Amino acid sequence: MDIGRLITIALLFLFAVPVQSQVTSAVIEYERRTNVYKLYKDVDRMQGMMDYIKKNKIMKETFTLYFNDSISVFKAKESPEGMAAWLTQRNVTIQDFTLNKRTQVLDLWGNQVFLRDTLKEREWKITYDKRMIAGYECRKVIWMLNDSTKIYAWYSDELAVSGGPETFNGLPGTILGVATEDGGVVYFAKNVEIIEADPIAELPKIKEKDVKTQAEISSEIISRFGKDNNGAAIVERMFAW
Amino acid sequence: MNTLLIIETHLMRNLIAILILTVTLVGSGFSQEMTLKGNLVDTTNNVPVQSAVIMVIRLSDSVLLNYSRPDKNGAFNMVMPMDTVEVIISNKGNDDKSIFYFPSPKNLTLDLPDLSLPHESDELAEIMIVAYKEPIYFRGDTLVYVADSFAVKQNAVVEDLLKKLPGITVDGEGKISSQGREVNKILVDGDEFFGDDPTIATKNLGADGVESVQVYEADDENAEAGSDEKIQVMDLKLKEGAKKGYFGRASGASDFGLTNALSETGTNDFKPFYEGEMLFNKFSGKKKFSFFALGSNTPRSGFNWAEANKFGLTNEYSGNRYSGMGGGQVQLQGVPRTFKSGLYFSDQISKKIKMKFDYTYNNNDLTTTKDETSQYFLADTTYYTDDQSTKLEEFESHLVNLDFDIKVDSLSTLRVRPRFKYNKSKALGFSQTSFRSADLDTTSLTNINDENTQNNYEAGVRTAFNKKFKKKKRHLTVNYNFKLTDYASDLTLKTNSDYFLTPSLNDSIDQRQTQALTTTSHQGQIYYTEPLNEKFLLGIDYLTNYSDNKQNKITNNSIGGEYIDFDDSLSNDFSTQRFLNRGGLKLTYKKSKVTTTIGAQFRNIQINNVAVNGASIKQSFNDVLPNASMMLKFSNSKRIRVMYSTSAMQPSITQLQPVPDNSDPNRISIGNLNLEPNYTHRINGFFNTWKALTGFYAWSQFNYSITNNDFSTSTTFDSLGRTISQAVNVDGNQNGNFLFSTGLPIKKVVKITPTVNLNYNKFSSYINTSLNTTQTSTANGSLKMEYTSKSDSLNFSLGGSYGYSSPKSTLSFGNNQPFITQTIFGTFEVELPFKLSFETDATYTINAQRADGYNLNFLIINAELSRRFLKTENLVVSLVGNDILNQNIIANRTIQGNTITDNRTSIISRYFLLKVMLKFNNRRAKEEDPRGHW
Repeated sequence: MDIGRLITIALLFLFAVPVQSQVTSAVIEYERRTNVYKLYKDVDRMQGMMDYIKKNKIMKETFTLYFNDSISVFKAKESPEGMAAWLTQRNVTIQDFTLNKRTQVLDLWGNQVFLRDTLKEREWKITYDKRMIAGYECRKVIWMLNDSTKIYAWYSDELAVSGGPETFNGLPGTILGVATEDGGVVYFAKNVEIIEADPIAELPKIKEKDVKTQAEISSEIISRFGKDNNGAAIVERMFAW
Repeated sequence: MNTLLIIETHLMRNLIAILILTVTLVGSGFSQEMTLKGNLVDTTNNVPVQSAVIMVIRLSDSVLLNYSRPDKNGAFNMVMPMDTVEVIISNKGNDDKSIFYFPSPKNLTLDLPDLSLPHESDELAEIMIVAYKEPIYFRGDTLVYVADSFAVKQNAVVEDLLKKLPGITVDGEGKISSQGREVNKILVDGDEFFGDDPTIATKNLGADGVESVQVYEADDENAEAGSDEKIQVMDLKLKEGAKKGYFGRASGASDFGLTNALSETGTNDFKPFYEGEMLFNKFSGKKKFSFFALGSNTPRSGFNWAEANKFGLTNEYSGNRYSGMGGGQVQLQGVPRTFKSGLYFSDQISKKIKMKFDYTYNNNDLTTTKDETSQYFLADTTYYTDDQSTKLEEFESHLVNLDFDIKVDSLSTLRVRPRFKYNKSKALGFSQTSFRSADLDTTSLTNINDENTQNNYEAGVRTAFNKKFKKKKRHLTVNYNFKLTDYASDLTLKTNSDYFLTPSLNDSIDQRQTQALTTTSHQGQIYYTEPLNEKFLLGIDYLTNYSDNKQNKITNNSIGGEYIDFDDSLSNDFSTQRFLNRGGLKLTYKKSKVTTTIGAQFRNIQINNVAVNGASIKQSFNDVLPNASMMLKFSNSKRIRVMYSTSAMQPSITQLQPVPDNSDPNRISIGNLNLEPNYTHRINGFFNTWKALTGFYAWSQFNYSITNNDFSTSTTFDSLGRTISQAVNVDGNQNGNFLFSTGLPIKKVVKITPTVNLNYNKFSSYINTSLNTTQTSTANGSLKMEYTSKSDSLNFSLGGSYGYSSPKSTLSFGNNQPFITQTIFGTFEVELPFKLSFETDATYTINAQRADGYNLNFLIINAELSRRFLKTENLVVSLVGNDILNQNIIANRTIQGNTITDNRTSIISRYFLLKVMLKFNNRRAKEEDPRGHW
């Protein structure tokens, strides 16, 4: 073993000593995997696309979360091409933790809808289970979407900002994984880059005159699609995340 | 003036508190807010921890209510609506720490100063429960109770405190169990306190000096190195305040000769009853000094005076290692007078040496009057004997223990423990035995008068060298023990036997027997463990023991009052040398929750027995002793363990010695030079689970052993019913036991504890050369209900037990009759106005299906009324009544071989005492004690 390697190892040890500083800014890349077959197999209006869906059951997309200790921006890295673009929704979500404000650009079948409301509050059930995601130890928590549907999330308190993908927040650390109980939709961090992120630079263009609250958008959709038909289901799905 | 002001502010504060409480109670019950605060420190670097997260989780549905990160000083503070919560503290590099908090309107702030986090390890996470004023928690494997959290009555001693701790029970004899499992050893601040008599600590130390009670499992120090034996240890940690300065108590009680204690068979010369005790402790820095003295002539002497090793001759190094543990009050037979006193001193002499010294002096008298009826079953006949005996015993002992704990270097320790003991005893006995035929006619009568004095010396030293290595789990232990004993006894025996049917056999003895027994033994042991990898651990063990025992017995018959006629047949010079070598290997496999060990030892023992009267026997035995164990540890408070082991024991010198013991001329016993070591297979196991949140526990254990070559007797009866018995080996003796007990709490104030205990015993012996096997099965069940009010102002319990015994014997002709013992018991304690308190307990015992005159039912009621005086309430005057209905008797039945024996012993029954007790300490006022690291 030469001296150079020895020094490298020694230096590695030196830096490996846990530094007790908290991460308050980072760029995280998430992969979303949607089982579109599971999602649409019973939906009438999608039956025409079933051949395509059966061939591409799992759809993979990449999203990026830019955050510092006051604001986070979550958006898709790129848009899929062709038919696939219609199968999933790619919203942009801005969470302002200091003002308790959420701004979203919703992707409604190609139309942009602007929403501004308070941050979503969820009741998180804490568990003792832990797993590693992207090199961080995460604790598993549960959110009851409704009486029968569980959503799992994993967060790491090594990342001190209480944000996460989509509209998720409210945990003592950053959420690095989210999954529905049946695994139909999962988000997992692939890469966590500890840098001075600049979420402001990533803000999308907002048409301030078109901004509505979540209640306004919900009632608009329901009045357009009918409460009993698809309206309620669309709203439920849209705001689940 | 100042004091007045303080009283005023106190009054004001209390008034405000009451006001707030009333307003909030009238308003809304759940509008109250609770506060969680504290600060986190890293104990290794002593710096605040900032990176951690403190989460507050509602216990009912696990929902996260709030979370916080500590500031730069490690401090945190959260206010939220009152709720029962779990607080999880999570930090990278540490294990989670859980704190369960049950707030109440009186207790709305959880203050956690200097909180440290458990180090990341494969150990289980740390859990703390703040269900009371302060928490119960697990620190690693150690269960910790914070003593102040549990309300005990004024002037309570440690035993009263222990009774209040969830999961801990103290039975009527003072035996302590944690989570159903017996506590084998009690330490005070990590040290043994006056040897291994736990009652000196539990019955005398004041509960208010104790900061915390810690319970953990430890290796059994008295077992050989490398043994898997684990014992449960309780450590009473004293408050810092109690460690600086002095504290103690003194009490005296007497009936001034006014109460008459004449019991049914007892004697009474109207001496006044008295009890007195004194305990003094002084601590300064690392120096600890204690003194105690106890004196009484009542059975409530506060300690187990009837020590197991009272009359020596119990054999070398073996012996029941659990005897004397958890002692407490043994049901005392006879009328005692006891005095016991001791000194204890410990100090850290230098950085490396810790020294302990204790000295105990014991002086007891005991007068026993016994009435015994036995029925003997022989193949062709049955007959009875009646024994009446009176025995006066005096016993005096001095015991010195020294303990040097030397830190040789950071990895090695050397412990040297010298011990000296001297005891002296004198016993006077008068007894009369009458033999009766099957038709109850008296056939013979024997009177025995004997006087025996003994002088015994014991000296020994135990040294242990322990070395750890840089490699984790590599470990070396080297032990050397040396023991020297010298016992001398001098017996004068006078007997007279009359045979009414055959007067020609009438006989008398008048002789003097002197006996000297010396033993020297050396034992060395090396035990080394080497971790083979993460999961496998190898243990290598070698033990060698050499012992030399000499027994010299001289018997002289009386000629004209002078003991000069040497009796050849009853004299002997006997010696036995034993040389034992044993080597063994053990493999331990540990993976997460399961630990498995398997091992075997090979043993050779060479024995040389020489009797001067010509007989000489050389023996050599080789044995293979396998062992195995498995433990499943689901969590800190839930585990299963199963263990198999084998052992072989040598007979005692009395069992070998070939000269008859004629101290009872009707029942002569004689040793056997050909006796071989026995061999025992033993399997045992336990299961326990405890839920600290509710207080529920269940404990179950089983033991089974089978012994071949076991030591038994061969008894021959002559035509007159006289017996000669000789020690022999027998095969297939068995012992089995199963115990299940559980504690079912209801709403924190009521606890129900059912217990089931099953026993099976099979024992063989020879009667007139034919094999007789006795099998005894017993089943005992008990149920107890206890109520404890939250403030401890009212406690009561009620319970009952039912025991069924069924003896069966191959040579039996009528003694296979089962018998039943039942008890009903209750206790009641209440705090009354005017600083008065009252307590009483009652036990009703029903004996059924025994010999006539032994089917006795009796009710024993004890009561005590006390009043506290002084501002500190440290002076207590009480009136104590013992066995108020004057019904106490001891009646029991034993079955052995072809014999059923029922006996009754005189004991002290009714007496009353006026008792004065004063507690003292160097703190004038009650001060708030600083809290340590959590």
